[in-house]
Amino acid sequence: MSGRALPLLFLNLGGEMLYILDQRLRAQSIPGEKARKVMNDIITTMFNKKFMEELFKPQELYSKKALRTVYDRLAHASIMRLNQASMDKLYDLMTMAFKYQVLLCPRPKDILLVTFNHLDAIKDFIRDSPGILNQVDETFRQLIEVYGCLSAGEFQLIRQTLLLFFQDMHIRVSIFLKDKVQNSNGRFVLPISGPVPWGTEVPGLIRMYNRNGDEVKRTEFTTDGNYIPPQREGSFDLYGDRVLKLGTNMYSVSRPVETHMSGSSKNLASHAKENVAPNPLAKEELNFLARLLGGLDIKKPGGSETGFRLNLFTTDEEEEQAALTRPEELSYKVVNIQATQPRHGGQPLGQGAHHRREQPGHPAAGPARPRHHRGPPRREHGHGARHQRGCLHEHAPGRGDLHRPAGGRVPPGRALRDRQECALRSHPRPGGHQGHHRAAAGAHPPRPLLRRPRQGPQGVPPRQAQSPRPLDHPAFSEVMTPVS
Amino acid sequence: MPVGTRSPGTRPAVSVVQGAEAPGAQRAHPGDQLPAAWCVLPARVLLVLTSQKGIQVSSWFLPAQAVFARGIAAAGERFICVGTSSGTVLVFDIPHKGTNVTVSEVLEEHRDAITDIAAELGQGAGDLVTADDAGTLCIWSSGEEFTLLNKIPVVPNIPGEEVTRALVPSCTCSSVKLWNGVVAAGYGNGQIRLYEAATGVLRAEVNAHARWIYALDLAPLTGKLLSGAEDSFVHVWKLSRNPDTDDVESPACPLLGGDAPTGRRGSKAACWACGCAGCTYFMCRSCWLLFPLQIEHCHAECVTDTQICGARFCDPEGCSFAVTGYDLSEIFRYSQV
Repeated sequence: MSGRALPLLFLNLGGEMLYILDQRLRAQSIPGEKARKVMNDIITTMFNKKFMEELFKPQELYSKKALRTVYDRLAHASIMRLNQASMDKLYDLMTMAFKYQVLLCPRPKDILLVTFNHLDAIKDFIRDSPGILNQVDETFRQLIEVYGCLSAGEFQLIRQTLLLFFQDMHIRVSIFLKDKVQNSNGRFVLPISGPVPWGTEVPGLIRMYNRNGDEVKRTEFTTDGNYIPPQREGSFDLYGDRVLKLGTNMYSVSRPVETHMSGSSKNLASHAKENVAPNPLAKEELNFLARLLGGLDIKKPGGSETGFRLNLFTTDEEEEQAALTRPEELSYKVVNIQATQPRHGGQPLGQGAHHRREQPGHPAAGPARPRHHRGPPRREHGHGARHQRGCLHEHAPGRGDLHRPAGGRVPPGRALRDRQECALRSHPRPGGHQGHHRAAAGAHPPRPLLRRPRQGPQGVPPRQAQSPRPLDHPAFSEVMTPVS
Repeated sequence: MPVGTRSPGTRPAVSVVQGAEAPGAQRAHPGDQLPAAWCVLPARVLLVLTSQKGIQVSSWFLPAQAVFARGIAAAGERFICVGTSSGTVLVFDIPHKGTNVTVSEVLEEHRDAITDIAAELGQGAGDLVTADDAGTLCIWSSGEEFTLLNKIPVVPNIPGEEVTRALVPSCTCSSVKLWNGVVAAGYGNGQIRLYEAATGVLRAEVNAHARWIYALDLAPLTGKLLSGAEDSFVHVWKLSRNPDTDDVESPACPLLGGDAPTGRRGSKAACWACGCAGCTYFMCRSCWLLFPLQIEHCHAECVTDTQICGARFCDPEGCSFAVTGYDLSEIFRYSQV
């Protein structure tokens, strides 16, 4: 797969996030000064020079989990706070919008035009701040330099890499449903009419040539499609008419954005069928995140600026309801990373910097936040004391994320992922947590989807299902304490 | 993969089959036309898998030096060719028995990543074709040493210059097939082109699809061509040779020697054009290659709201075909009734 897809993924998702936040800030009547500050802070953080440097290095796309964590941080780069439910919804909207854009790109190269559309809009958000404008222009130039001369085949590979990332995501977005670009089963509508991409001919003509290269015969055929020639090519310069509408802002204050949480496909098995073999890239992924987030400058609000909470839903009750009813298979498993050293000897970061995921059985969790505990009562396992550092236990309901259905059934295959996360987030402990997992009621050992041969002449060792050793990196030693 | 039974009823018949995951095979990635292929050599049948870590031939694991491998075909009597992202084609020598697979040759004619490789067993010269990201096609003859027969360059887009053939400049050649001396190539701009393998001459150009062509397949017994693209369409075409034109010189069948009578229809085992005996098809190869190539459109199917990623005939006559798509967990099978 392509090693150049990550910058495009990040910038486009970031652009969508800004569209949505902008719409919500206006819908919630946040004062202009505050709203502008939030947008400026987020954009400044997004286009941070070091951050961009890391991003543009050729590398694989990392997991949804890792990327989600980055956006979590980004959204909290200013005085604005988002509850988990709102953050989930924001991320759903971002990803489905970009998935739609990638899918409908006429030519693979048009993915660059989509990116430019987002950047043009971002520049418009910060048009009064020349400093940040420079940063964005710098990134623009870098994009042109890196992607300007790639071939169609390389762009198609980038596109395929992105499509693979979005595969099997079918969350229904009401604005898409209303505009009839998405079906009620969550699949996007692919039109078979309209202009063909630039460089393509309208289908229907067959030309036959003799040995000298002269055309000797012409025939035509018809299909259900109704295509017309393209008008003109979009501009790939710093400024210009992009022609393509994909990637422009489709939200406005009067069109509230909702998602329908039952949008998972009928075939739930397809969600459980993720690759559950231990992921050797997990460690790389988290190291990458630590480096990346190390470059993110977390803004602490000054004395006079008070933080505020943004709600992606129309009412607080709706947000609560969404949190409680989110289907299990759509929950995002966010990894908590503190990528900087504790600022004041272990004190939590400032207001609004992060909100903590609650851990099961954690005696020091403090008073339960009433808003999030209306679900079924949590089962106590009696080994809460050993889970102080937020180990994710596969059969503990609640698990910090608020979306557990009453049944509490664990999809097969989560065990291994949880084990991984568990080991990464806890202090080094001999023997790990395998004991607990063996006791898991009813959990089957996950069968890896990929069966590799025992050994080959090159001595490729068989994969062993052992939990990875906790990382020594200081980034993983602490979990945030709750923001009161 | 399990394929449904033929459904009776009015044309076209469709049976939907749940795609089962073969053990050891990953879910087909969009555009990875051949992450795996069955290679049928005279002595044995092998499954070749490629991944970012390298190439696996049945149970052997041979790491490749490139970022990825793409395009797999069995060539000659005992070779498997695999393309890489650097443009090189690795030729593996497969012994009749045992595990001693070696890299016999590295073909370095392409400058861009290989997209697809096609081969025709038992056809002598011009039995392997390789395609790349730029649209360049190379035609080879397999053997102890592979020789380059023809290199079909990308048609340059020189503004102002009148090009009578191929008016649209080439794009990435995403898929290629070889059949009876004909190279069928599918491109990222939706075109299908037919070339003569022996000479490299362009014989036909079809504005087939409105989007990137992902898959091409040929039914060897009838010359039917299947194309599937991102525009949701699957088309069935028919390749044939047309003797009724002025473009044909009097074919001299090498078996008989001298001028051969034309217009006489022989039996199945005799060449239609020259009457010589010993033909597999209705015409002996030499005569066949002299006649101009034709392509006609037979059938179109639209798989609603699906970007087609794979399409294959299910039988050598081309009476039925199967189709897969992005975000689709089913395989659709169409049969001619």
